[in-house]
Amino acid sequence: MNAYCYEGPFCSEYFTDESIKFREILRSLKCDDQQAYDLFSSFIELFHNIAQHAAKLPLQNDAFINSITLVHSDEKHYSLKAQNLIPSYQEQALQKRLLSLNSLSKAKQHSVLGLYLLMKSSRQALTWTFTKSKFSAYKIFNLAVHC
Amino acid sequence: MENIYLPAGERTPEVTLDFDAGRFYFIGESYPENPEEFLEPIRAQLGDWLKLLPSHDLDFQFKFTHLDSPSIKLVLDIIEEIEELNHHNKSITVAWYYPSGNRTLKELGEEIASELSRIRIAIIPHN
Repeated sequence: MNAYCYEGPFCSEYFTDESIKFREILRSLKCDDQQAYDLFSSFIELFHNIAQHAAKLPLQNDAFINSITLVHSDEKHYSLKAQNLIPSYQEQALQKRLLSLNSLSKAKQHSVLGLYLLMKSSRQALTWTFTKSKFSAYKIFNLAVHC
Repeated sequence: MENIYLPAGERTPEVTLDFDAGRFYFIGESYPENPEEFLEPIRAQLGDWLKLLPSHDLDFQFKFTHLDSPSIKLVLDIIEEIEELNHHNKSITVAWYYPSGNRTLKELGEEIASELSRIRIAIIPHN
């Protein structure tokens, strides 16, 4: 069962309300301080990441495609899942950036700082897939943080 | 340059840029709704001031309880500028405080510290 689900719109006006709501949900769950920190950190990065992509897309309505969901993956762990549309041509570049995270030794590689933070917060693993969308020129980028 | 004090906001840290005393403190949460709008003026003013090669000792304290990637970028930019200054034989103190038990912020401080060759960052837990 989802502990939280938000399906947009993803823009700065909604960020504040949703971050407050998400934090309240975290307080109501039985997660430790570290988990709560990592989940909240990840939520912020994922929200901003989706908002950035959404702002560049010509599609007017991002609802029901872009989303952030928190699920209880087992007794002690949670997965924060995000999905958003990206232009298909960006898939390879994004894939490359994600793969580069494992070999990153420098925290100051600014271009991947957001993804890097997600990897850091993900105490188990950061996973991702690209799937087809109903729009031929776009794919759905699914990213999950496991804490 | 005029000193700057910004009280903590709901998603923004308390910021003290005391140019007269050479003291710069960042305390609290930092995940602004519009990161550029909040962070850029701080980066610009501090950066401009550091370029003037201030003559007195410098004390930087980062005491974040939460920070997002644009805020980390700000810290990295500031620290890079501070490291450049170290050529000029100043006494520079940089402290990274993290909430006791928070591995993510502790490790982040350690990683930032490991990038630097000319200045040492004290990594200090706090309650």
